Amino acid sequence: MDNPIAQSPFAHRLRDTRPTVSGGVKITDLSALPRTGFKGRGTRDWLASQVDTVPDAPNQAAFQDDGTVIAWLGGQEYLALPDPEGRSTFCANLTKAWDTARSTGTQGIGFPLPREDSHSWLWITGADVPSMMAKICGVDLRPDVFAEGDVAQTVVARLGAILLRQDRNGEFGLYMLSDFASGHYLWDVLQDAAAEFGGGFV
Amino acid sequence: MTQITRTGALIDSTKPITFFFEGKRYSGVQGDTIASALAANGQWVLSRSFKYHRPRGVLTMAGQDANTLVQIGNEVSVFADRHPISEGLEIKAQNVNGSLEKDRDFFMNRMGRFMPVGFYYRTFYKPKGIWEKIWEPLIRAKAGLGTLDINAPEDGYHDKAYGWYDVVVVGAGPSGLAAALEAAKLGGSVLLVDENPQLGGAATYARGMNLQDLIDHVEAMENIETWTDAVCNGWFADNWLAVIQGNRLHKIRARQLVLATGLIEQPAQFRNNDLPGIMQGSAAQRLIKSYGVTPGQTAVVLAGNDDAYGVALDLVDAGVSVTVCELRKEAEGPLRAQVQTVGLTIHDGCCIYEALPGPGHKHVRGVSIAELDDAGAATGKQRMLPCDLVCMSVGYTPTYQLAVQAGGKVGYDDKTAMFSITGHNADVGLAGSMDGRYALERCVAHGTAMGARAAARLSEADAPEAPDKCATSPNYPWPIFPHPKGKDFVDFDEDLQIKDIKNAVAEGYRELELVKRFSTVGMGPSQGRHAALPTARLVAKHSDRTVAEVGVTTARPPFTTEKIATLAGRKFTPMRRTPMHSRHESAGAEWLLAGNWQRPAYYGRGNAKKTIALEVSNARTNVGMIDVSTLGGLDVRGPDAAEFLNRMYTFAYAKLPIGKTRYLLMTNEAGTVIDDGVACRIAEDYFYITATTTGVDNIYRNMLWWNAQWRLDVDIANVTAAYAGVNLAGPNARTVLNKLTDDIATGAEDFPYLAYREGHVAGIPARAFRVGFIGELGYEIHVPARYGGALWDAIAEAGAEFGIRPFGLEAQRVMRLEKGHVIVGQDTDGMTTPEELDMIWAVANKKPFFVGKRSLELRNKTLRDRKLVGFSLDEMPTAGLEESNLVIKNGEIAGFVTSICQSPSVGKVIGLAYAARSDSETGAKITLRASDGSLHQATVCSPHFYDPDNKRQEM
Repeated sequence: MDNPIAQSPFAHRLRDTRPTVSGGVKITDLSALPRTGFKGRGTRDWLASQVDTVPDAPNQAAFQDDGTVIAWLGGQEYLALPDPEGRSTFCANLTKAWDTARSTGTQGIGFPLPREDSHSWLWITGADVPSMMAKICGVDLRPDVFAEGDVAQTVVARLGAILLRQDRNGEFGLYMLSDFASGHYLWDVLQDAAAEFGGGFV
Repeated sequence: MTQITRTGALIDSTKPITFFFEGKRYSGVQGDTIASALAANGQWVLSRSFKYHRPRGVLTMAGQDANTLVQIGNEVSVFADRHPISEGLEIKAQNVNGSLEKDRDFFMNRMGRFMPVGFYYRTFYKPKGIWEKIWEPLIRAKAGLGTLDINAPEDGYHDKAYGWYDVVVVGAGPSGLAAALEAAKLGGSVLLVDENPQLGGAATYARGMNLQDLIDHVEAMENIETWTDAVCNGWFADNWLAVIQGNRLHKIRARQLVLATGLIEQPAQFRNNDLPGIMQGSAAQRLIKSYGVTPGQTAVVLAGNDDAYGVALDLVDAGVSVTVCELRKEAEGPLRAQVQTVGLTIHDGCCIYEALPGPGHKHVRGVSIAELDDAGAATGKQRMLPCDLVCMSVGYTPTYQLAVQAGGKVGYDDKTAMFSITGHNADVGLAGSMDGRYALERCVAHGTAMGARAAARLSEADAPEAPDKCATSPNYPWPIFPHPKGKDFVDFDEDLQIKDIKNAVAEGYRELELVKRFSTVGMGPSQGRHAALPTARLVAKHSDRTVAEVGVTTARPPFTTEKIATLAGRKFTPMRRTPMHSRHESAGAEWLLAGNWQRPAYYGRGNAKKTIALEVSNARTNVGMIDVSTLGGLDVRGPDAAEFLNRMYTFAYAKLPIGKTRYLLMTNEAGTVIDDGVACRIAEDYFYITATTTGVDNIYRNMLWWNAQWRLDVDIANVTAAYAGVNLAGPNARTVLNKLTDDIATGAEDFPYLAYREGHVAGIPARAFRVGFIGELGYEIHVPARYGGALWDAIAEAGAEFGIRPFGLEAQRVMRLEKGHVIVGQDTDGMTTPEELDMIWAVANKKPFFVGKRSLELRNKTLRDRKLVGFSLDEMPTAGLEESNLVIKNGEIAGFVTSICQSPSVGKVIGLAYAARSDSETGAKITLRASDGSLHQATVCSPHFYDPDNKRQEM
């Protein structure tokens, strides 16, 4: 969302009530960052031809040299998330490569998905994240069970969500991608769940 | 008897607390429960019994009985022997008529003969009508425990949490501690749960047990979590455990479960065995050890096992004068030997035949003991012993509830009075006294073995040998001593006496489950903890069978009481908002829900009808804008995309040109209309289609389901949330759009009705198509969701010079009705066919297949006698007409109104209704029945009330 008129679904909440957080859960809104996904017949082979490494099992992520994460969501569906702390053009390059291939008539390379608009993107970090998430999600996310690069496609507080373990500076971390239109609801849910640990949006 | 300075494991006497019971001020100390603090103040009566309103007091001090149920604020049935006191806490007795001290309904105590077991089944229904007029109001007024204000706000924050552990151990007594320690040695995660405030189980109060070393070891293990004040309230499949701690319900998955839930001490049955001052031996020990309360001055201990002598010794240590009444004629044991050394009087081979009540039955003042004959029955050789405390230590049942929920069966050996539990789930182990290991050392050894077993099952190693069960039972086999005058209670909750169970069997209810249902035994708050065993014994005796043959009743979750608020937890109600939500809020939107979307109904806080009419008028005569972001959006891509749409929808799409849109109508396999929308052809292999707001998720699932069978080369993506949409409509819509785009030609020829274009609007990449849902020149503009707010702002700004204003869902519904456009779900029902909607034009019968085609061919051969018709009235009747009002023909129901409004544009009341097919021609009269029953004539007309030639939307 380099375009200044683009807006995260959490933007107005962050503007209206930016909280001070000192506890064991920090929630960072990454929705403004680029991200993409591909789905459909031929996606895996095409993606493999474009990136260094693709995950070798569903619900797993593979990390590229520049920090971009490619997550295999199942079947022929993939998600690409850049390193939030870098300035990677990986996602834009992928989209451009796909457009180029299609413009030359190439078929069977899957289709892009509008992940920047279909899903909000949060980074939930801190030692208490597994405990906090246990209040709203039925998947066991304890560090020794849910390893870095593991992906869970599940329900969080009755909302569909993609969870991906991505630690931050040695601290436990989760990417959470969820319905773009439910940002307001999700804000309330996460703030409430994190309050017990002195955490919240930052 | 007020005790000033107390020493107990759970209390801090240096921290006094003031609280109120029945309006009277009391002092307790930090750590006290309500019951312990009241006992320390000499207040032993806590409640009145359910039926006879007899005074009741401490029985178990373990939250296992209804005697201690009290009300706090708006919370009823709180266990006084579990709930801590706090400064200023106000507690009330419940089930009291008048006051706890002087209950007007205590006269019921003398009415027992008029209320024999099961009397209610044959009493209240004759003569006819008496139930409703007399008995039901009376019983409702008398029944129930406590008073609940259902309008009171929710008290406190309740939530839930999931948890996952390799091994969960329930019960932190000797065997539970040992099991947790052993299981943890292999490195897995272990959770140790106990309902009490401290670890140690029976060792916290029973004489001669010290587990501090074991507790220290457990607490030193990093991979053991210990939860106190946490009750495991249910076992469900796959070791799914409901554990309640405070206001949180934990939903725990345990790979292995060890139940070390111990024993429940059982009362004896003798006349007046419910008097305050008569309690379990373990209750007296809890009062002394945990709370520093001396429960009396002169005690009689009824002994059926050696534990009773531990109680006697503890009482002596607390300064109580003690006499032992021993049921066994030849008893021995290490604690008995100590008592004999102390020199207490022991009456061997005697029972308590009757407890003698003090004034108002508020405390025991003595007991009459009787020698037992060889059959164990009371003889006439009796003597009276004055006392103010009776402790019963005659036996136990295993705390079998969770094990039974896990598939276990409870067995009983009549010869040894020993219980067994078998057949439970293989991933559940039983440890300690609940599985026949009573002595402390054997309990610990068994816990260790079961902990090792749990760990071994996780690693598929061999399980170690478990120590044998104890040979001697702590259960006296027949502690039941009926009295001719009764009041020898089997079930304290329900005031059921020995004769009630006997009479139930005499009535023909031989099976325990039938006795339970007929007598209500075991159906009160304590759920048979103390009633199940004596009932089984009595049923066995009076049906000439053994207890083993009779069995025990089933134990279902929950194990103990749980609040509705705990089960409800924190509410999760996902709501969706469009990216323009804050704009609508600023514009004063009134909201309504469309599925789980929040949508503006109209804008402004004034008169709703006028506001909606104004919004309609502005869109019809000028230009309006509506947020349509909630509309379902699906990307259908791939070489077979057109074929896929051809199969999913009734219309034909193979030849739809790129850059064009076409109406979508979907039927299910029965030929019933289930959705509609618009298909935009973006490329040869790419359709962007819309679906109804509330239907899109089902339609998406439907599509995946069908294509799982068809295997067409097509990809379907639900992109509903990914696009924000604005419908810009009205005669000035083109002019406004012109200001916002450089790369989309907006003229009628370049961008005709039903065309699809891509370009930029306000610099935002946009999909635009011309549709006419409200019947005006209109552009539907879809942009990536993150730009929704910016698009809205840009359109509003560009349209400002023309007086653009947003319109809400209500205005849109009026305008689409004026155009005669149906809303699927509102103007259709579970049987509607395209033919009934006059939408045959949207069905391509030449196609070889679409979902519902075969059914429609059959249904069209015999058309139903109804059609959707347009109708109008000159004005709205005073009674009003609304959706779902009936259409009446010859006194019969011919149909119903699906949509109706006062049309600002047409100047009449217009609507759509299902009517008799014979009345579907223009000019026919139909009769509408208003909600008050009045009948009103309407004239059938074309449903296209406004601009029937579509000139406005196609301009």
